[in-house]
Amino acid sequence: MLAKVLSATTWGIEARMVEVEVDVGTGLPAFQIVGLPDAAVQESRERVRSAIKNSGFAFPAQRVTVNLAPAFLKKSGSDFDLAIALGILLATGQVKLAFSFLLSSFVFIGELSLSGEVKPVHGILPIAHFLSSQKDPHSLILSCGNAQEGALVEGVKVFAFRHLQEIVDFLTGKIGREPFSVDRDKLFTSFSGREDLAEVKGQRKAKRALEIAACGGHHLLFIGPPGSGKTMLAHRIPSLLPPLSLDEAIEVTKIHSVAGFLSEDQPLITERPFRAPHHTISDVALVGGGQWPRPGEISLAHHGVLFLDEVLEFRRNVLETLREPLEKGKVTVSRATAIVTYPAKFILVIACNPCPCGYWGDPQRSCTCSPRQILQYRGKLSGPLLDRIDLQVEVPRLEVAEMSAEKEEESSLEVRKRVEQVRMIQRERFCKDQITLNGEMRASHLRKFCHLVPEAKHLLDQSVEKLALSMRAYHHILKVSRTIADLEGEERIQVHHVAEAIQYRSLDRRWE
Amino acid sequence: MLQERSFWIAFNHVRGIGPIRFQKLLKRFGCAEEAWYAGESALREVVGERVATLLIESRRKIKPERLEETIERARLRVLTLLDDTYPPLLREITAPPFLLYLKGDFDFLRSPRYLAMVGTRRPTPYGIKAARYLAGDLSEEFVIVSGMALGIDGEVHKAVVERGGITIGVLGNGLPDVYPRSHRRLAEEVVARGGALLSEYPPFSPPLRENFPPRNRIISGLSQGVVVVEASSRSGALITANFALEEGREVMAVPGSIFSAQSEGTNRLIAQGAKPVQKKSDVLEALGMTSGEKQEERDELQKSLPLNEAEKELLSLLDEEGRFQEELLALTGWEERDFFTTLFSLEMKGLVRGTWGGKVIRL
Repeated sequence: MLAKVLSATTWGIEARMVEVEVDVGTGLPAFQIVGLPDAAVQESRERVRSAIKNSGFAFPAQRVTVNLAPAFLKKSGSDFDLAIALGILLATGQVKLAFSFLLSSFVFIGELSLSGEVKPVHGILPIAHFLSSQKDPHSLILSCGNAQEGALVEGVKVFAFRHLQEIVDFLTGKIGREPFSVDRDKLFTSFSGREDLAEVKGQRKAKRALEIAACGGHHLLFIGPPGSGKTMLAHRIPSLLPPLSLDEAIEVTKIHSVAGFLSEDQPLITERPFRAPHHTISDVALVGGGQWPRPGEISLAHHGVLFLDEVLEFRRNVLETLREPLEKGKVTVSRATAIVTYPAKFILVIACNPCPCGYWGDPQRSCTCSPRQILQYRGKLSGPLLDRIDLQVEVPRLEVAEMSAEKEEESSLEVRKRVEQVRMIQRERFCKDQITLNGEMRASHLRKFCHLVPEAKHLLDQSVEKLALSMRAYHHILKVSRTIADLEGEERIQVHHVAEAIQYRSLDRRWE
Repeated sequence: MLQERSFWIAFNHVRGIGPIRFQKLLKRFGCAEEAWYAGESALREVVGERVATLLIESRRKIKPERLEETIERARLRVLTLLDDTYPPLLREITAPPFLLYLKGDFDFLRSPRYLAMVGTRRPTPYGIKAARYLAGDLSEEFVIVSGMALGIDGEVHKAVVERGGITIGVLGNGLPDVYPRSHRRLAEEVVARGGALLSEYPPFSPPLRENFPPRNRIISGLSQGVVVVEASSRSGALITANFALEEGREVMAVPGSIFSAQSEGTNRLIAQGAKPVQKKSDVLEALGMTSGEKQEERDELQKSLPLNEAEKELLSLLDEEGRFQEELLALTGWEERDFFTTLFSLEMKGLVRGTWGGKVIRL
């Protein structure tokens, strides 16, 4: 007899329907799964066999064939356990549905334990999101552990169960079950206190740069000796950014769901991500990949901050891979099994020491590097990655006295208010363009949106010559001065906006 | 009508008449003119038989009235002990040259600070590097005096000229010729940049071997101190150092490798008590000076540029050590907007400069 049960699988952060067909027929006892399953899917044979037995049913001593359709789509993971088990029970007639059409309105996703328990799996949110976008949404049947995540999406009914037996009882009408619901607003507003900018003493220039970066989505470089507070500053950028919108939160959560980083008690990611991979990271781990392409750190940092500390310690080929995502805001990972695109829009913050030993310009310790070493070091800093950094800020190590000075520091909340204001200006400005932030402007946008007053234009041209700035720096300065002008609500860029923007281009100066 | 000055020049052209004999003649006859026409026996009494014969011979050949023409044609100026413009420090030594030929617009009364820097004609790469480094830095504080010779002297002049400083070359031959010939271009540069060439020998005199030790006494005599950059144990630079010691001028030396012959002389000077020089401030310290003069110059510079109050305030917080922008923000307590605008305009005026690592230094 043939049975057909619906399931689904993730594809990048999208999802596809999968039909699970089960045929039980005469022949020597066997259990085959076809439809490009990987090893994890093959293993589900053993789990399904035991789960059926231990749930009070009999596993047929017949030839069992399972087909996962569409057959060309590669399948991985344990998501199909539940659908396969149900298919077998239906095909062997052990379970009889009162209304067989009922079955086709459900999508079953879950892993089975040997005892028949239903276990949570990764990537539920993209699937729920996918189902909600269909014309006639299916309902989801899944594990209690996945319930909150699945219920986040409006328009999809979610039924959560603990055991295979329960699901059978539900389908045969022995027990009733209300769709699981979750208070999204409550989840969404549970904004836990982040690190606050007020905890950083002094460092006004660096803080100002953080604010500008948060406003315009500019990428940022910190140069400073160890212990100057580069990491501490970078950690506080998310607290300056406006909270994620629900759509953004779902997009971020989808990525983390696919990567398997969601926990049961945190089904929705409401805070902007901050990812700080260690410098030993591989290119695959950074941009995504693997046999079944998984999102990398850059996608996990989507809508948040990617922080690369000691950026020169990263392998060069690893940094090179950042170019495309920085350009496009997404990354396409091609593998033999699949080509997947993950979103990757983030503020990049990189940090490094001013010289190999790290103590160049430190008031307390003297630098032991030779001038040649320092020159080489600076050379390493240039290159394609630096091309995309708008703000370059030196972070000096402050004297203890300065740090302990009791001065009222501005809190993240106050700064965030300004950031939200500036972001609104940008939304209006770019409503007809494909971009949303000043940091994303291309040459054509610069011409269109960066109008300088004549004196400012004159000054900028002059400074390029006098301070020996490169033409590359010119564009960065324009972008940053646009954001600084926005901070003051100025339509045209004034002299002092340019003056400040130039101070964030220290690496473009030609040093003696 | 011939002036006294012409007879001074005439005596300068007589071989064997140096500062000491000339002083004796002046003492005996009252003025140079009287001495020039003095009788043979009287001259013999004062300068001895040999020099008197030379003098009488020269008297026949030299026409005092023609000498100044030659000097003018060579575009030289003459400084005598009678002139107010005679270098004041040189006047103080025991036997100052009674006459100097000068090429260039330099005025010795203009700058109060002179430093001699001398060394071997066969320097090592280390010596060249040290000479260039120190001369460049020291030219910010001093007029640098040296001997235009090959080797260290030349490097010193070059470094000063490159830094836009003022330097004086004292030659062992008659101006306007320059020996060694390969330094002619450099000598022109020195003059063009406001420096001068100096010699006590009559125009077009050849560079005689015996001219050089007296030349060295002028180098040290012009200066408050002498820095010997590199010198072997028998270098002429040590003669300059000895003169300096006799005249009570500070002697300093650049330490070198114990295995380098070119550092034997300098290292021995240090052993004998000369101040070792590693950087500009060592010299200033040895001479009991601060870099005050530059401060004055700077104030001059500042006055010439119209600065607003904010710019003046920010500038007053800076020196060549520099400060981080972070510190400056804290010290001024200004809004970022005002701070960056002020800093930027100072930068555009060329008064300050950002450096690698984030410090702002004053230029």
